[in-house]
Amino acid sequence: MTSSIKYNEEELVGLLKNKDQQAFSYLYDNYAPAINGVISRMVESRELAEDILQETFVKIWNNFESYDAGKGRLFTWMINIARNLTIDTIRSKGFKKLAKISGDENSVSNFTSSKHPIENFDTIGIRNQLANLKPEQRIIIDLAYFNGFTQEEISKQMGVPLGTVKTRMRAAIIELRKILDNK
Amino acid sequence: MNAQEIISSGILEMYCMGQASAKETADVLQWVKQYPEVAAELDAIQAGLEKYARANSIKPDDKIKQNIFEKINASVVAAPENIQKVKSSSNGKVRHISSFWKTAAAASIILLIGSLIFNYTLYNKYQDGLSQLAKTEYNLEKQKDITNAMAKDMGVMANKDAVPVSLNPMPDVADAAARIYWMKNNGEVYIDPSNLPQAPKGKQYQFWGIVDGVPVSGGMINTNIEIDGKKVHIQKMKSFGRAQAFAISIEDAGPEKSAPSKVIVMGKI
Repeated sequence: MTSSIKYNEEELVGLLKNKDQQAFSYLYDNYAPAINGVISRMVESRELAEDILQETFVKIWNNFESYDAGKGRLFTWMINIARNLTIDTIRSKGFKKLAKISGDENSVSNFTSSKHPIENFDTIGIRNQLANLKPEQRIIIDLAYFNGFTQEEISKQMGVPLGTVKTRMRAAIIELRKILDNK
Repeated sequence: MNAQEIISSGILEMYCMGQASAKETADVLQWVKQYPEVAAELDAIQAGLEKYARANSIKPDDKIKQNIFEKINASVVAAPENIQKVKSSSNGKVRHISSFWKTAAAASIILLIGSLIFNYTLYNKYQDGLSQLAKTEYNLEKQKDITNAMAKDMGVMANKDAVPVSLNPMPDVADAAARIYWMKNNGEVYIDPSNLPQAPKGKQYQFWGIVDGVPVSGGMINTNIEIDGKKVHIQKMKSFGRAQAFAISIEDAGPEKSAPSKVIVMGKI
């Protein structure tokens, strides 16, 4: 089912609004690993992550007409669906409570887990460059992006003032853009 | 707010991460129309995050794609062009069926549909139940691991001979800390590395005892022991007969170094 055709984002969106399954197949091939990566960082179980990934793509297919390119990129929209589904799952299963109890300020440094195998060789170079991100910047991005923490929650968890969280978040994303643009 | 203030407020980043409130979302969409530089910034942030997510890709199992397609096709109603049109022919014979059989046929179709719906619902409930059970079991196992790890950690902390020493960040290091427990009876040293940031790729933390002003290696710290995404464990380092202070440095991964290259936290007994 791997598609050999390439689409740009605009074409892809048009085709998906018309329920084109070949475009959807391409969408999956092109985005599922990145989305799965994000979900996998939020839940520890691979099976659970893949369940959520599946649910995410079914939802993307069913609700595609509600995607509005004026509000953001396709990936941003999809990742928000994935993140919300993951957070719902975590909350409904009591995972969140677990993380909070065992968490306190100690838990913040642990989210850059390296336990997941690198499976996409294209990304190794970027991964190496990402090591240049300052740990305090990386933690904030990871907490927000992979763990769905709000700036207030990060501030509370890390015991760092909210203003500092905002500045570091911004600095981190600027750094990230620099690193990734050089690629 | 002007464009520059908007850009540096941090709201755009939150918006891209799906964390903006309804009010903030409305503001952002307004600003994007109003200021081209805000629109450009918003797109650049999204592009950065997208690449970051791609850099962290994990290929899902092949069966997932298959499952998704099965699911979406199950809900697709056959397209009209696929339905063979039955043409009525004027010279076909017409048989009359008694109204009893019509009623019976209608009733059995209704029963069949009812039964299918019932089965389908029941099957879904059964599946949900199974997956709930698996998740609950999984949670329980994790909880047990955490409890065991905590019990082990508590043992060290509660030891009457344990002297806790806080290691605090050096002036040029933000947000790192560690705590060690020095056993005054036998000189054993345990470290709790959970407040150290993740070591950058290819780097590792090394533990040091400062004995008469000279750093002596206490071994590499394993920051990869994790339970439920949390580096819990208090781990035993090399014992120093006596030491006045302890420190942690960041080193290239590999064998222990003989002298620390960059000390990040330090504390006196």
